[in-house]
Amino acid sequence: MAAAVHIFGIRHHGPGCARSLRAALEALAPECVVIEGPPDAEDVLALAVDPAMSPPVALLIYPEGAPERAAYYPFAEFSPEWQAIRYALDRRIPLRFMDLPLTHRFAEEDRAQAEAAAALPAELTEETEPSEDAGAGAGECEHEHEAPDDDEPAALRVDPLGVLAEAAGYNDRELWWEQQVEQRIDPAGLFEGILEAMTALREQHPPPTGHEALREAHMRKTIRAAAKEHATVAVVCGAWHGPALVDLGGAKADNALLKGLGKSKVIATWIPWTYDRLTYESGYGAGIASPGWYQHLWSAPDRSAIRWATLAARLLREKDLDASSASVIEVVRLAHSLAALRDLPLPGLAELRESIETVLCHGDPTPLALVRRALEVGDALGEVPEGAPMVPLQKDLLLAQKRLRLKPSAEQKDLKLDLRKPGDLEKSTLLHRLTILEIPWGELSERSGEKGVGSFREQWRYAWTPELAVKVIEANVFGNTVESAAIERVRRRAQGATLGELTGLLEAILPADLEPALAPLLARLQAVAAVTADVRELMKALPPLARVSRYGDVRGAREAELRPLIDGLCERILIGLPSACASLDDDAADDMVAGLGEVHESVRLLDRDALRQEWLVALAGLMANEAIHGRVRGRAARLRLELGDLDEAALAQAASLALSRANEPSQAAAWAEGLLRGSGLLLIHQDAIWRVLDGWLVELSDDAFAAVLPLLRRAFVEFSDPERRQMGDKVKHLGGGARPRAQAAAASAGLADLERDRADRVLPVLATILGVPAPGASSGDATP
Amino acid sequence: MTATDPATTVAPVLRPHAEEIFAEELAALRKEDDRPRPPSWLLSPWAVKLYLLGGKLKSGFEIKPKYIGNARLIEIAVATLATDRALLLYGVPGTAKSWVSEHLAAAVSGDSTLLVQGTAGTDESAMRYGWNYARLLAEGPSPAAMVASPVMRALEGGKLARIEELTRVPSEVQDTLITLLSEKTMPVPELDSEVQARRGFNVIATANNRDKGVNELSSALLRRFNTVILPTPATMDEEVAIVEQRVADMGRNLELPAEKPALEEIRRVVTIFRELRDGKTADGKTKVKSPSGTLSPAEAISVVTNGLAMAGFYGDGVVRAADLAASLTGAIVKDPVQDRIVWLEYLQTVVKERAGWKDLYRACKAVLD
Repeated sequence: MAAAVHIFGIRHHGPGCARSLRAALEALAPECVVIEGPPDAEDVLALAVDPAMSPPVALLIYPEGAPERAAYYPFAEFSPEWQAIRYALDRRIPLRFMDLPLTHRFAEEDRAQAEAAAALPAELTEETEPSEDAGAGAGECEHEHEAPDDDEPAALRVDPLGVLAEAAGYNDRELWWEQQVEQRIDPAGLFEGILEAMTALREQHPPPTGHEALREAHMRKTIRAAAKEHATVAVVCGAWHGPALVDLGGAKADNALLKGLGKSKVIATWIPWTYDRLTYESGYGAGIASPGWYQHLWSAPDRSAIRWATLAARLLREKDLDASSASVIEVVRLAHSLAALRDLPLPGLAELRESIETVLCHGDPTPLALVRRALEVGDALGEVPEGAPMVPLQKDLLLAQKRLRLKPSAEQKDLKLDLRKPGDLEKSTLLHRLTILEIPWGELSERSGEKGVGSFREQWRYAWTPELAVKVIEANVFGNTVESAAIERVRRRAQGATLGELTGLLEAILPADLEPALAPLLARLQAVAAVTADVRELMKALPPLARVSRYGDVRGAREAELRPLIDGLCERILIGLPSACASLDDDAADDMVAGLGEVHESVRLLDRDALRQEWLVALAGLMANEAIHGRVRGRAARLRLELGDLDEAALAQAASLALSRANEPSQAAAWAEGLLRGSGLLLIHQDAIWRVLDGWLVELSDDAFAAVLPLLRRAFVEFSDPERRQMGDKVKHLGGGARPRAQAAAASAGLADLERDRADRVLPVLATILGVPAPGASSGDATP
Repeated sequence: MTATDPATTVAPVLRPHAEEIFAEELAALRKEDDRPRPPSWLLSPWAVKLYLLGGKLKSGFEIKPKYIGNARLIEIAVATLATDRALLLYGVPGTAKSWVSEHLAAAVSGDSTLLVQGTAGTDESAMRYGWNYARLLAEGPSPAAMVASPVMRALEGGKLARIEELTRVPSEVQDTLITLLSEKTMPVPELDSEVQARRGFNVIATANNRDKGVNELSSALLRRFNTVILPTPATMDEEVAIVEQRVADMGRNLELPAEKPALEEIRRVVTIFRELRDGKTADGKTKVKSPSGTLSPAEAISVVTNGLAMAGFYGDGVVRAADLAASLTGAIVKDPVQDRIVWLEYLQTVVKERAGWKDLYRACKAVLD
């Protein structure tokens, strides 16, 4: 072979590696650069030099029509691959990607899935689960969505860096690599060294099989093709693959291996990425611990410790923590002497972190967490040029974001909206629509903004994550604009939805201002409500409708449209209620009690006299029906009491009837439970209930008391301790009738014993103080 | 004349200084240490680290670990002293703060005796200098009439001064340290002169963050210290190792007649302490209440040593549950009402149920009843 092929084994996302690679490429000046990466993305590679492109970004490759199966290839500015791409594009020399094309892998997955589906269903779940890439450290490529390679031998999964680090006497492979490679100033001989080390390592392992073998075969194939056309070829690959690419061998074996691979249509594009997603913690196999630190090393290679300590101090100062320049000096000094003590040429992140903790944070690890989040990881979000391939929905969203000045940012931010302002209203509408599309960019942090008393304020908390880009692409199937996609999404969700889901949807689309979706949804609601036989289901549907009807929103009331629907719903509930309440067991009774509460709330919200009357009648019916579960009847009594339909005498009568000895104690207790459930604070002020209950308990025989005690206790368990204490106090003071009144009576009786002569003498003074005419009247009406 | 009359023989000191106990180790380290030393340091920072963390010299000489735990903390402490910043060791009582400070001073300066014990009554003369009043009256102010404090002697000699319990010292006395630490000099206005620090001078202060009503350090003073927080041991094994080693050392120092306690007994004591401290059992299954005391490793050490003494003097020389019960109860029950309930509850719910712990349960119950 005439061409000279130079292998550069690298580690993904290493700034030292990237710098050395860049220097090595400049020295070599190859005619062609071949990089371990998916050839499917070659079309969009040119965008990497677009001025609007700003890492961290990721290549996103997905099978057409199935964006949820996407594979990501993240790049930071300090990724060696990124530097190699930029180098090749800047010099206008040919650039190739050599990994096994994803088109084959997706096709393979399709096939496997089809097979699995044909086989046992249990296997299906296993097959579709993305398995994490264990050998990610040095050689493995970076996909979060890795095809299952169960045939890969366990030995290959041994972490190659770990082995080398151990051989060098380090416990921490990160540390070893950092010191040996990333902090190296002189790149000469580095890549030869890496290649040699990996060769030695791979000699210990059996040659790769399965997917791994396919990948390396394809790499060799690509290099061979490049070597035919160009004199010098630079190959940039994960260090682990290096040795397999040195000896290209004959094309025959590789071609045989690669023959007959299926193909499926794939789409590649760039999406913005975040540093947070480059960390191990995010579950990214080839992740790094501290992207922010690496970025810092890349952008400020000289005096990195000083700059880092200054950055940390400024960050702490921003958060109102003391961090003087004198302390920064001490941080740097301590970091340097720590490095010396550990025999390191320069302080690394660990030394700086410990120095910052010791000097700036006075040993307190809490502020250090801030440094970790904001500096070591960083919250940078990349940007991709507008020219990157985008689905129409993405473009529409981008336009909307620009128009509303709502910039995607990786940092979590709060957004307070006043819906009376048109701009804010539009922002809210957009966020609500995205929520319907299941693109959770923003989260409504105060539920009250949506469901409370017709508020015109909303508070959102929003942060952009890279996955959202994929979700946008996924949502594109519903429509090409955010609005049309949301409408279509609502329509599809409405199909086959239960009544409760439909009313939930209705509540969701109003703030999203999806007028066209409303009429079909209402029609659908009507239709489903008409055939729903389950009264409980109808009861669940009522509250959202009542809320919408009562409060509507600032976008205009909808009462007229909803009224027929609500009326119909109420009628059905009232008719079906008695039979729905018959023969319930304990759990079902609990559920029904909750349902009664919901309807009750709705009736109060709707505030219509006729409806209220009907509801009271229905409740009275429930109360009177002995066949109904005690809890439901007790609840009905309570609800009537709350609406003022039941006076104390009637309650006492109902209670003594329900709690009388002839009844089964458990049913009697259930009645009490139904009566007492709910807010303890409200209950405390229902004097009638307490008097009635107290009377009942006092009359119980010892045996019956023992029998109902556990049930009664259960009725009270849901109240908090202070509430229970208050209730206890209440009942204590109930004893012997209303004591306050008795005391008042005693006090007035005491007046008779007053020594009137002496009391009269005080009156003129009192009159002067109070500013009332001179006394003479009795003491009783001295004060108005 | 033989030493039969106890009145005339002088007993050896109860607890020799670190530099005396470990003189051999320090000498061996010094002999082999060829790395650069900061001015006035007897050992290089690497050797100091080795002295504290333990290890083997090239000659095969074994250095015993003085601090068992996170090596990084010791590295930070040594590096702090090497950059001639003052060091503040902070933590709950019994986490080896004074121990580390003593050994650092012994290794760096060969002298751990320049010590100021901080109390509410510590005055400025303990930090600066006092006067020999007889001489002051007779001769007037002169250097000869001055009584130097340990800090001042450290200043002159280029050594490490140790200040124990810095937060107990009244604030105005703490403030005298500020000039000392930033200007490295001690003015003597009475003589219109000053004492300038020799290179190698530094201060190691300890303070605990558990006590209430102490004098928190002002931020001006705190800024002059590098703070290292010494935690309670991270793992069970670490704590057992600490207790075991210290008990063995103390047993030897105090010449207790009992044999070294079985690891099993130490493990039991440490388990009880950890569980009560963490508020849950080691398996994480049962919640327990925590008593008011700190239950630090230092207290575990004293419980086991006490048990050793009990076994040696009153028992058969082998540490058993009964020998530990009294001191265990004493260490845990600091508040006679609350802690007693906590301890009883723990005995009933945890100790009683645990396989093979019946003897301990019975012994502890006997002490409580």
